[in-house]
This record gives sequence, structure tokens and C-alpha cells, in this order.
Amino acid sequence: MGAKTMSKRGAKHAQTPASSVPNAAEWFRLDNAAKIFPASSSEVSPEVFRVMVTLDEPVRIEALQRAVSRLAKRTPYYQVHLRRGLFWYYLERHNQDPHLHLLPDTPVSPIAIKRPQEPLYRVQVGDRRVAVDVSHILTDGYGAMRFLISVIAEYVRQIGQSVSSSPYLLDPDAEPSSGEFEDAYKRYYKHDQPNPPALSPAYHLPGIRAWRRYRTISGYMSVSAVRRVSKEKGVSITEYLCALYLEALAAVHAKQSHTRIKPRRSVMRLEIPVNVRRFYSTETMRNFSLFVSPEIDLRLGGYSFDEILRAVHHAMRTQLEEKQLARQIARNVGGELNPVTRVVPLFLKDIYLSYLHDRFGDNLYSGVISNLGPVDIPQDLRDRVSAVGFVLGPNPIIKKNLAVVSLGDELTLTFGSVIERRDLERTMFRTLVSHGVPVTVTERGT
Amino acid sequence: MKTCSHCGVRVERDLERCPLCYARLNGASGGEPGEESEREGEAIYTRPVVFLIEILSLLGGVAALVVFAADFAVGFTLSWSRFPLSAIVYAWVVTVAIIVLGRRAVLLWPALTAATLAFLLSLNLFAGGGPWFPSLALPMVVLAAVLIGAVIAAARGRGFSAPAVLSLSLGAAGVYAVGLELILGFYFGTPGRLSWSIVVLASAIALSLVLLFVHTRLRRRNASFERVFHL
Repeated sequence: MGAKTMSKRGAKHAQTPASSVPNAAEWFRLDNAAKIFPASSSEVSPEVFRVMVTLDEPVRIEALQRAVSRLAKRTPYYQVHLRRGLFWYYLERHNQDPHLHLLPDTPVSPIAIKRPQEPLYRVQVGDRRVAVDVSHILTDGYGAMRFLISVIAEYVRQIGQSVSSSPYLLDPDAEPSSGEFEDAYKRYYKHDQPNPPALSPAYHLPGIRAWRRYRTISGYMSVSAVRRVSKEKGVSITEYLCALYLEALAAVHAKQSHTRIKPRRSVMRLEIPVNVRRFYSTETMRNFSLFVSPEIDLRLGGYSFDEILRAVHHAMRTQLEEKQLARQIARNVGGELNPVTRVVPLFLKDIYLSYLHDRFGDNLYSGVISNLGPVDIPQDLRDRVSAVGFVLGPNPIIKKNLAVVSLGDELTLTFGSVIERRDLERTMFRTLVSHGVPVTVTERGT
Repeated sequence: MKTCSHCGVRVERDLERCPLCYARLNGASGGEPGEESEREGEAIYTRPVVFLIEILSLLGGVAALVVFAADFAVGFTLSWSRFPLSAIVYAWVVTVAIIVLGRRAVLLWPALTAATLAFLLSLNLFAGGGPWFPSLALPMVVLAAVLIGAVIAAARGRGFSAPAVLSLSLGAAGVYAVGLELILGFYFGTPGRLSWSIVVLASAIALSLVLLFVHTRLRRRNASFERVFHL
């Protein structure tokens, strides 16, 4: 919360009447994925992530403020505060312009979601960079990056240059469609589906959590080089990166096995959020992601890299299938719609959901890889953008996470970590280099 | 750009050390690995436990010394301080056993039972008067230890789920209430009379059965507590 308000100008032309905003419902429900975040978020795990763009020249603040204001009105589902109801949290619309903040040194800024009048996203600017920190209550990585790129496109227009239209870009002059507000999980919910298989608790990295410190290490490499290596091995880029991550986790596990405090668990499992808009047609700009969870079990013996690759490849192909994804939707939405769950007062739900998040969320995973994939922007805008960045928020249980995004031929891997040790990052980047992929490493942001 | 000869990665020119291995970067050819890198493995794994035991020992030692000095300074003998000293030693043993043995219940549980018995015996000896340890404290602690041990063994051996373990624990608590009333009856000279413990046992069994019933019904419907409460 250390960012300072950079401009108060927005307040002058704020307070648009609600009726002038399209789809002017005064409040709406959290989507199914967001339901757990108010209960599970805390100061050490704020359920926030950052998307970022680096431009080719220093940002002009006034033009950016105008662009942000226009896009804020275009995306009323993000112009909300979190409110407590009797049984559920809900989102209440507001008409305040988002103020620009100075981009702080911290990798992501926590958002005090339960503070009255607190916006659930924050636009920050520093030199050539524009970053948006977003509470997961609002949207997932796809929605946040699309919003940011649309802001940048509008910014470029505001400084007098043209940007060709693209379906990816939100048109600030258009009305938001009702589909953008949609809770797509509910639309695709089938009540008669069985639950996904239960998962056993997974290994967690050792290490002492640094007091109030969250740091990142980013590695930059060529998309074509990584694609070449993964093609040689017959897998996708995401599968290749997952295998590298699992191999690095197994190396830390092996190292810990030779110390006095042995690892208690031997299952290495990754949590990989998947944008399921490609499986289910929807326009939603809110959360619409599910998870796949490749794993290896070291009780079965050591794994070679090729064995890990095979395990990841087949697990992802099996789990990334509409029938399997439907089971996740059925479990999540079914739980929400259950009459018993619905009548439990919110203060009890908070306690229970927080427990569930720890016990059946973080407890089941050793690491997280979130791959936003290539950012799709028109060529004339591409000329103004020199890099994109993506950083996941801190997690005190899993301790490290990996955010992946690419622009053109540059692939950026950003490790976030709440612990000092960095052997996981070291092993992964060294393996990439040994596979013939040149890597540039920095501890600074993009 | 500099290159770290250890990791093979390129690093920005103005950095003096590689962000991955802390090796000092001397120009384009890289350099030696940093000391932090060498120490990183073992130290981070062992430091928290050793540090915690050291802190606990220091705190316990200081507290014991202060209590001892306060008592000894008055009459050059130990009187009341034997009780807080026993309590300090007991607290230290229990905490260290939990830290060192962790989740190894097979070792931890007997160790905690033995420490509790030793503590109560020392209180009985220091207090003088009638011997309440063999007829009151010993059977109470042993009964509790046996019941808890049985629940842990059953839960682990059979792989019970959380609701089943909770149900079993409720049953064990009811049995303990009956045992407790019998022990108290023997100690106070009214053996064999049961009153309040029967109510506790009946309530515990009823709750336990309700829990088991709900759990079983949910399983039959291919549901579970996890599903009902929105996992």
C-alpha cells in the first residue's frame, strides 16, 4: 500500500451518474472462482497479481490518466468495491475514476479488498512502465492483460497516434456487452457430473519466509529457441516449462533428503491455471480459469528429465479435456449452489473457506505455473511496446511461483518468492542454458 | 552484459553478483561462486529447529535461575521454587519433544505421557501429604494416553477420514468421562458409582453416531463434506 496517489485530477471529472454507464446494475455477485478469495486473502497472501507493459518512451501521465478513465467506464465490472452481505460477499459499483499511482519497487502491491471504498485494481506508472495490480476477485490473467493492453492502445490514441482495431482490444466508445459480466462457470455447470479425483498433499519447498519480503527473479529468452527445444522433445512450451519446474523441485527435494530435516512428502504437483475460454465460448471479462495438475511421486524412484516430460505431457493432455474440466466446474459451482452452503452466515463461511483454501488448495501443490501465453496486439501498437510482464502474488505456503508471458520473440519467466533460497530458479535456468536456450537474468522488473 | 560462468546465464552489466548463485561477476567471463551459495543448503534446513531449541533453553534457563535465586536468597534453601522449577522443566521437555519428534506419534505420544507422569509425581513428592499420584494422577494420565493412542492408531491404521476420526474421538471422550468418574470414585472412597459420566457418554455416542450417519449418507450420494462446503 506504499504507492502514492500521483494525480488527483481524476476526481474533478469523476462521479459519473450510474445511469449513464451501460449495464448499470448497482451490484452483482462474485463469480464462482472469486468466491473463495475474500476469505483466503490476507496481508501475506493478498490474492493479487500484476500485469505490466514497458513502452518505448516515458509515459505521459495526463494522456494515460485520460486513457484509464475511458477504459474504466468501458469496464464497469472492474469499477467495483467489495461489500459484505449476510450470506455472501458482493461487488458494488462505483463511479470513481481510478487514480494513477507511482510504481513502487515491490513486485506487486497488496490491495486491501475489505477496506471501504478500496478499488480492486490499481494502475501504476513509472518512467516507461505501466503496471496494473489486480485482485483475483475481479478477473484472471486474460482479463487483466486485455484490459491493460486496451488502456495502452487508448493511451497511444490519446497522444495522437493511430492504432488499428482488433477484437482483442476493448473499444472505449462501445457499450460493454452483458456477456462480459457473465459468471461463465454457472453457464456451463452440469449438476450431475462426478467430482474430480481427490489429491494427496504435496511437497512444499523448505525455507524460512522472509519477513514482509517478496522478491522476483526474471529470465528472458527467445520464444523460438524454447519452441525449438520443446518441439525436439515432442511437447508444448508449457509442458516443457512444467517439466523443468518439476525437475528443479525434485532436485531441491533430493538435496533436502540429505539433511537432518527430511522432506515429509514426496509428491511434486504443479498447479497450472488454464484459460478455458478456448473450450467454452464466452465473452466474460471476469474469472474463467480452471486448473490442471501434473505430478510426479518420488516414492516410486528417481525420474529422468524425459520421464518427467512424459508424465507432464500425458497428464496435461488427459486433464485438458472438456469432460475433465466439466467435473471441476461441477464441483465448484455445485458447492456454491448447495442449500446448506447458501444459508450459512458469511462470518462462518469466512472461517470455513479459509480453512478449505489452505487444506485443499495450497496444501495440494508444490508450485504454480501461470502461462499467459503470447500477448496478441496489433502491429502498430506492437511498435510502441518493448516488453510485457506478469507477476503472481506471494503465497506463504507454496512459497514460489512462476509467471510466464511472451511478446513477439521474447519469453519472460518471472519467479516470485517469499523465501531467500533460490536454488529452484538456479536449477531451472541452468537447465534451460544446458538445453541450448540463452537466458538473461535480472532481479528487476521488466 | 556479463555472463556467469557457473550458471551460464547473462546478467546485466551493473550487477556485481549473479542473482542465481551469488558468484562474483568479473567482466564477461564470470567469476567464483559466492559463499552464500555454498552455505545455502544445510544451514537453511537445520537453522530453525536448532535456533528454536536454543531460544527455548535460554528462556527456560533464565526463568529457572531467577526462580531459584528468589527462593534461595530468602532462607538459603529451596522451598516453594521446586514447583515452578518442575513446571519449567516439564514445559521445556514437552516443547522440545514436540519440536524434535514432530509428527512421529509412535515416539512422541509415549514421551509426552512419561513427561506428564514424571511432572505429576514430582509435584506429589514436593507437596508432601497423602500420596495422590498412584491412585489419582497415574490412572487418569494412563487412561487418557491409552485412549488417545488408540484413536491415533485406529485412524492411521485404517486410514480414516477427518469426520470418522472426529466421531471416534467423541466416543473416546465419552469413555474417558466414565473412566474418570470411576477413578475419582475410588480415590474419594465411593467406588463403582456412576452418574454424570453416563450423561456425557450418551451425548458423545449420540453426536458420534450423527456425524457418522451424515458422513456415510454423503458418501453414498457420491458427495462429501468437501463438496457440500464448496471446495
